[in-house]
Amino acid sequence: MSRKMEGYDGNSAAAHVAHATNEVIAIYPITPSSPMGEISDEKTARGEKNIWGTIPSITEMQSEGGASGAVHGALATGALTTTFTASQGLLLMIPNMYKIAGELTPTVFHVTARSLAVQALSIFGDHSDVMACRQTGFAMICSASVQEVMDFALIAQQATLASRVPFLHYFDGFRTSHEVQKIEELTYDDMRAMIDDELVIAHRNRALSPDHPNMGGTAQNPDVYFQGRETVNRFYMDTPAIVQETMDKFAKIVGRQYHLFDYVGAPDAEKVVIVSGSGAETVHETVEYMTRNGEKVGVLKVRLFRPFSVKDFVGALPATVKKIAVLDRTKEPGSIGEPLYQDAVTAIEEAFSEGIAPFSSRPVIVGGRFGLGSKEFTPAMAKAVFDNLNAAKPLNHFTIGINDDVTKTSLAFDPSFTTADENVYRAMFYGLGSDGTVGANKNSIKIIGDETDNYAQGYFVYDSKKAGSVTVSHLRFGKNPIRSPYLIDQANFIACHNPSFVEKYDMLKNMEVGGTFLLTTPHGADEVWDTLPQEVQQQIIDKQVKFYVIDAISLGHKLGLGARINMIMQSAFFNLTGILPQEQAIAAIKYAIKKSYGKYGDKVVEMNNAAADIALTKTFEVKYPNAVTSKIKKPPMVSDNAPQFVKDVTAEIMAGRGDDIPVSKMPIDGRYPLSTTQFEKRNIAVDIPVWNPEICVQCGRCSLLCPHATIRMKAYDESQLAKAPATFKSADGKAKLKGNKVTIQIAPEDCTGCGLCVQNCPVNVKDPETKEPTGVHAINMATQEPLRETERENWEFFLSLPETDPSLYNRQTVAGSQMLPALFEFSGACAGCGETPYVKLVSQLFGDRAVIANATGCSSIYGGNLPTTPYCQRGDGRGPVWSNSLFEDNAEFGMGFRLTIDKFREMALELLGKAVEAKVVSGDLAEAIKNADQSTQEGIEEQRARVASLKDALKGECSVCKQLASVADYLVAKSVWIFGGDGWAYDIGYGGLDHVLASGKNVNMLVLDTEVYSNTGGQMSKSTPRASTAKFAAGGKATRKKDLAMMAINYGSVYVANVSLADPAHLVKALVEAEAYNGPSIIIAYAHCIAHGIDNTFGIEEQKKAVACGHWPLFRYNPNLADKGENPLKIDSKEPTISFEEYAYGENRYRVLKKIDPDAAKRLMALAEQDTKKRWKLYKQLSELSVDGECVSKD
Amino acid sequence: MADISTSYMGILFKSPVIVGACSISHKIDNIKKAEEAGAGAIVIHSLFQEQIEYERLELDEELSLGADIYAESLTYLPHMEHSGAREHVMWVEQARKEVSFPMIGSLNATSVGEWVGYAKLLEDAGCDALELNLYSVETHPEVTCTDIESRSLEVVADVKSVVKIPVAVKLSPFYTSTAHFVSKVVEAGADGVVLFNRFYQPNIDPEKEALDIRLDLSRPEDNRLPLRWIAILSGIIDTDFVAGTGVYGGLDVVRQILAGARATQSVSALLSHGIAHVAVMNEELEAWMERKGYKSIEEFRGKLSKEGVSGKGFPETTEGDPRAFERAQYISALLQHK
Repeated sequence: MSRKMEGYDGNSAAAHVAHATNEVIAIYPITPSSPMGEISDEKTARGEKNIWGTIPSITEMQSEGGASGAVHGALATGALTTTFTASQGLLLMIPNMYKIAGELTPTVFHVTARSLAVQALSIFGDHSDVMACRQTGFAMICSASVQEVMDFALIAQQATLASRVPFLHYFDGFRTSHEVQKIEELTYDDMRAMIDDELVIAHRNRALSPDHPNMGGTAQNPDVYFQGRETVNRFYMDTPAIVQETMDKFAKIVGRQYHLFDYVGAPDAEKVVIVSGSGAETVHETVEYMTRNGEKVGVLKVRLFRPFSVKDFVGALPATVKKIAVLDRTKEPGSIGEPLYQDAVTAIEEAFSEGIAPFSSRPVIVGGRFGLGSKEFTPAMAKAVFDNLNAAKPLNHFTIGINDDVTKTSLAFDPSFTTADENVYRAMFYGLGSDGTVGANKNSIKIIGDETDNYAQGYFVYDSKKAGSVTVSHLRFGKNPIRSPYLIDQANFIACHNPSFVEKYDMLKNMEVGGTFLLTTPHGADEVWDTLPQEVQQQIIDKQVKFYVIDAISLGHKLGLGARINMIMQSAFFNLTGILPQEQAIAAIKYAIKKSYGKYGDKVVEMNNAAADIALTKTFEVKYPNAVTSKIKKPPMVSDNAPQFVKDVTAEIMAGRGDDIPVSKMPIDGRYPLSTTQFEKRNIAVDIPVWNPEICVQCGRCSLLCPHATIRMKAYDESQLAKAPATFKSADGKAKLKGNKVTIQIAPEDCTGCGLCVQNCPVNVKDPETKEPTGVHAINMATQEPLRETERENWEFFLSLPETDPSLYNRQTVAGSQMLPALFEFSGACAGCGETPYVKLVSQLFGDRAVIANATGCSSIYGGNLPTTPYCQRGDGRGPVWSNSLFEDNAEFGMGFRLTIDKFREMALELLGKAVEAKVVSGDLAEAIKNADQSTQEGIEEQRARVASLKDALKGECSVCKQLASVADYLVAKSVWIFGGDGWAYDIGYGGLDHVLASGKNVNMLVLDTEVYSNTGGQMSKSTPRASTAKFAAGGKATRKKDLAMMAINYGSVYVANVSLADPAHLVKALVEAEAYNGPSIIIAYAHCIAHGIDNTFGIEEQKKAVACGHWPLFRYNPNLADKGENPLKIDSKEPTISFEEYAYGENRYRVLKKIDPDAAKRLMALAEQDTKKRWKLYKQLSELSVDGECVSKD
Repeated sequence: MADISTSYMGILFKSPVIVGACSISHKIDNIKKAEEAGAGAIVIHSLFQEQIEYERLELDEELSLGADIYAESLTYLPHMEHSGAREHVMWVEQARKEVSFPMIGSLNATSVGEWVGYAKLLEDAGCDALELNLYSVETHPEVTCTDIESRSLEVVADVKSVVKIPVAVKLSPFYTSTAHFVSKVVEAGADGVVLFNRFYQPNIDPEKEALDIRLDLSRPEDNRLPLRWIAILSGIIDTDFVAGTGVYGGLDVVRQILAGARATQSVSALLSHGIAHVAVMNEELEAWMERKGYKSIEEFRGKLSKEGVSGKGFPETTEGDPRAFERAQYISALLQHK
């Protein structure tokens, strides 16, 4: 049977089998498993059938808990059902996993094993999640490579049907799920040959059916529950043999033989490492290297972890083994050891007890942890694990890959140790996110995979920032299958696809001596040398690098390819590396071009062919001197005045040396200092805004709308300008600011260059002759580089100016709010983000007293993703506190804040009374504190002064003093904020959100509504509007958007506002009212997003259209008005002036459906138009009712 | 009253005035107006191979906006394929529901492959006939005229093999041997030939130093080119001819029919004077026929074709000389002009 060799990553390999062998799929997106669901959804949307000829149904649920419930239900009624998940998502499935296993229901859950959120969230890989499921009764089978993922997905599917035990099939998140490998694709015939249809029918026959009724889910009492629990034993006892038989059957059909435990190494090994997952591949590679050098070592790869077969386990180990190291990719604090270690110890002990141990004496067994959160695990580390076994008493419970200088668990390793095969070509590519570098490299893998008998591997490392981010591609090619599930540390070839990276990243760190460096640059071969920093020149000289340049960006423009330089660079790569003979390479590239681009027509093919050709003649070698000649030095990572923590930790992470930070430098409980984004001068903007004070009207819109807090306003006395830098700009204050100077200053090195400010400046100078707008605003974009130095100086000076005197402005206005310091700055959000202006505004208005709970999602990533923290403090040190618990529990987490704050205030008041009684505090002060009016900022500041006096009075040693001092700050009002996206608010967190709304507690929820799961890559939420496409709504969302506001209004006791950046004045008003409302409030904020398929620069235009068509009406529902006899609902936007369609078709998310499925687009758009009209009408009617229900319409 | 109906590729048209493929058919209302004005048929605006290819590229770029930036969101929209001609076909289906006069689908395809399938879709959508537009500007120096012609003939044959409705081919005037190629097109199965296409030829604006991409409308005097070729070919190649350039008034229709055309296509005239101008053209045609005593189109069709001129034994005069359509007369015309 012939099979194709194809490029797959782990997720697509799993989805290939899962979609083909199931009938129902219920999912919920979570990184890194989301692509499995997305691929399945796309297959279904395209009409791909499973091996029985039906198209599997795909259903997105509201959470993983919901998905597992739906899976349980579908299984119980007989469908072959699967799901995909990871991390916290898997934990949410645990209750149903017990049920599914307890009822002996065959299924396979495919899991990209990922870290759990503990001291911090990590989206990366380890086995913490799957190991938390080992008690559920699911069988657990682990794939170590992409090929195994496809193979084991099929083996597990048959084994579960044969054994009736459900399977958890897992593989390492990112390292395997996202690694591209050239593998042998299983065919539908393979799958049909593997799956026994009789078992499928048997599963169906066991279904709950009213045609042959029985019941499940009974409640059992002490008399029988225990016996019932033991009925499953024989199924678990039989499962290992069934899995082995299935593996044998697979070997007969496909040719690859697997075992429950696969041993690799010396037959007479004395030292063996036991490990599962991709780490097993690293150890395998290391063992092959060590055994070639005569060492008696081996590795036991654990495939079937549950049920654990002691017989097969000991049978697979060589009898000669004397020392064993068991590696776990998880951590169980407080346990004797991690799970695989404990099982190995127990298994060997039991084997001796049972007399089946093949060993002459009891081997020494130690356990250790590795690879948590995708920490690199390299052959050097694997070697260190073997070396540890050389010791008379090897270190037990060790760690490898880190420097634990606190509890001394870590093994030392020699980073220079390598198993790198000289027959494997290793290449690294530095690209700017979304510039096509990753796609081109995937294409190169395909070319090499298709055109040669080489094996290929690709792995891609992404930035922690979403703006100006770098992607690093790691590619390996070789004649033999490539294991190496770790990053390249000695590259034969490094390409830099963006000239600005030379100063920012230490790209040549991983260059081997004599390697090739290809730089795209506008500088020619004879002039480029002195444009490089000294450090880079030194590396080139030291490593005798073959250095080439190509002006790919100019060439791309000339060829009509614009910024798409990937084909030029790809061709240059093949040309320089000689992986293929030049003629063959160019023919292969052109064949790939025809295949990839043929559907776009001959012209596109020709342009790309020209790009492939031009690289051959326009790549030039640089002849460089044997001495550093540059005058440029790489700038320091952070300024000298940065705090020590920033220097020791933050800067090291920024420099790419985070792996070297020892345990002792890390916060013990995940608490990090704030205000650190200010030290990360990323200089990613090509153009920055430049203020024109002559024509500025000082409205504050640019500052309010700036998503990155890089535009600030201050008013100050003219005398402050005495020491101003020469280029510092100011204007005479207008209106209330008259008599003062005003400056709008840009932070040049923090700006992302999104241009949103310029787009929304209300000043647009008219041509004196034509009277037409010229596009010249009071703020205009200009190239950053020539402005960088002067504007940096101006920014520093601006920061040194005193904050604006609060008596000069009204903080409840747009301009006034922008005089307040932004306590959220320079986040890593996408350039032009539609969420961050809201967050920043809340930080300005209430940041001095804000306690923020943040649901997992975009806002938690740009709010809290290391290395730096964007929340910061005002001059007196006060500022927002922020934390992220989980995705699903955010409303409850925030309500917990409120409960504490209320309780502490209550305790403080109680203690205040006692302090008065004890004559520690004066009665007058206590009364003033108790009766303080804190409804205004002035009132709050006055109360702070009183509390400061109180605390002065409490400096004594009395018990009441100490108690009261510890809670006295709660006598000052705190503002509880609950931030999250629509995935949280509408879906996974809705139950909690609803409960908190009903609680009456004084919390403020800000829903940053992008109408889609933005952070995980655009999956549909219940906020997604009808007619929009999204992942899991590839054919267009068929149902209308959930009206969360109306649901909240329904309580009658919740302040509700629908707001948009389209109307900043309304936004400020709503935020102030919401915060002032003594009860729950919810503000639903329209957030434009790159996931909408728009250029964020024009995000506010989209917001305006959303409001203008009635899709996003602006309104406020204030229950306090009802108490006054007024209608609490105020519609603040005008009657729709444009159609929904006119708004929607400005965004790709709607427009693409016309191209993908125009019939659906037409039908859904008509319905969406109706949705908008009906909703507007409903709100309008409600706003016109009197409080006793009579219509008060003026019409 | 004169009967202005005609038959083209076996389909009966109430009038020889056809609304040619252009932006007029972008609106259903316009199509209705054309029917009300008495047009014999309408050619629905072309489905361009290039347009679909471009939309595919555009779609894939739209779907990959923001890709490969952040590990959790490597893409934002599902990977789906362009539906090809579906959006256009939907339009045709909608138009079909609104009007009952003949509708001709237009397909601009320069290579074989899936485009052939689109012809079938247009047939299924309710088109009464198809017009294959072979317009393309080949710029590659290695591509020969034989390559181009063979490719075109392959498209014609392939399309004919998948549809039952008649297929006309609309040609450009720039073939080395127009007569030969027309005969080959007919051999390949074409049921009719439309002469000629108007080329989109960008100009240069010297002031702006930029390309001027406005589409120039034809002028009434542009009718000479189709007039000559229809006159030459209508008698010698057994197919139905339609004239398609410079047909502004009823007398222009008359001219082309006298040369041998079965119908004419108007675009520029209707863009200039409005769709209702069709009625004027019909009236002018009718008036001329009545004045001349013709009761039907067939009574005078081809009367002044090359064959018609010679077949009726007209004396070899300048007025009736069949060579008037050939090179000798061309020289004579030049001499006269002098």
